Amino acid sequence: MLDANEAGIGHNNPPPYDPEALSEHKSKADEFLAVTQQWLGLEKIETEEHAAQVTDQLDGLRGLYKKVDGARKAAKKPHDDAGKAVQAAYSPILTKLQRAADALKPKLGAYVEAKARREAEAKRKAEDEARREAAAAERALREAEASGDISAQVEAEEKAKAAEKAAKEAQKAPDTRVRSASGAGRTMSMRTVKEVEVVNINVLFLHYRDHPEVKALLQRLATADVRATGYDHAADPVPGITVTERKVMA
Amino acid sequence: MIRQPSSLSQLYAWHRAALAGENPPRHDGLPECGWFKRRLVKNGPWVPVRIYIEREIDPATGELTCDEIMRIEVEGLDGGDPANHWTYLTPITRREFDHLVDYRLRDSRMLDARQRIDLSNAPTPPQGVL
Repeated sequence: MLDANEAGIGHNNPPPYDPEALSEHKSKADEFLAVTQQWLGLEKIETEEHAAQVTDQLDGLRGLYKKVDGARKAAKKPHDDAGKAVQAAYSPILTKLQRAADALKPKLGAYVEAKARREAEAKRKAEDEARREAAAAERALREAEASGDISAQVEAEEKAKAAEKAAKEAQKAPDTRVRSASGAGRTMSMRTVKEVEVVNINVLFLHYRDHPEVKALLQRLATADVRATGYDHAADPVPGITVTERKVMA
Repeated sequence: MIRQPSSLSQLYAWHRAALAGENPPRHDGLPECGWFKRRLVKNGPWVPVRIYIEREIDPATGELTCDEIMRIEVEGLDGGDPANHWTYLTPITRREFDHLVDYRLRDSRMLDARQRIDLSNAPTPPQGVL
């Protein structure tokens, strides 16, 4: 028979918050939600007394939100603090490792660039050589055909095939990758990264004007300006917008 | 010496002007008749307050038989010296005063005038609907 005090499944892995406090907040919130549902069930607010009571209910909801949010922050704080402590302990090491890698990359980059130059030069030479060999093989083949010497013809054909193979080899892209010395590391290579500099913002805007993010950004900037203290739409309007005023409960 | 009682118009002139938004001057220690509300503690419930004149009038002559005495009623009870409350009072209409008297009985949170109300402790349901 299971004793009430006996530890059940998961007893040594409790949630990272106080479940009783959470349950209290939840039941209180449920109370408020049930009453809010009563208010929402009314077709409309018609009396001053109801309006005043709704104001109290709204204030209560706001107050409860603050309480629950405060409890959430308090429950989360030790975890945040622990997270910050872990971050503070590990960050310096990570930063040093990142800097070390960043410092090494240009060194390897310089080597890879030099290697690429060497490979390109070797490729050019190989291509020249392959072209020469192909021309010589072509010439030898024509001469052998003219002389009727079977043996010379076969040799010339062999040479032409070898020249063709050499040309194919020479056309291969040079290998500029740097492989791991032990085989366990990642192979590194020079990567081409595209970067953009804006030289004509108007033309650029025209290109992207239909992009939804552009509109959202402009709307955000204009809204901030319009809501700023001292903005006068009549005297100094932000161009390209209309301003409407909407009443909201606050 | 014939002593005529003050007219209601005279007694409630300040209150009428205050409700009309005329912002009549309010002098410390010189309360005026009317209906008011105040809080006894910060964030506490509104409490109905009434300032009135107590007097005796001779029905035969219409003259005062004694001095007019200013009284104050706070939560329906004698509030002592009206001057002690005067600067804390907010003038309200008679109708709002009556509603406040009634509403305090229907909302239990308002019964203790010296207890601040925390609206987040309990929801506020629509009264008289369910």
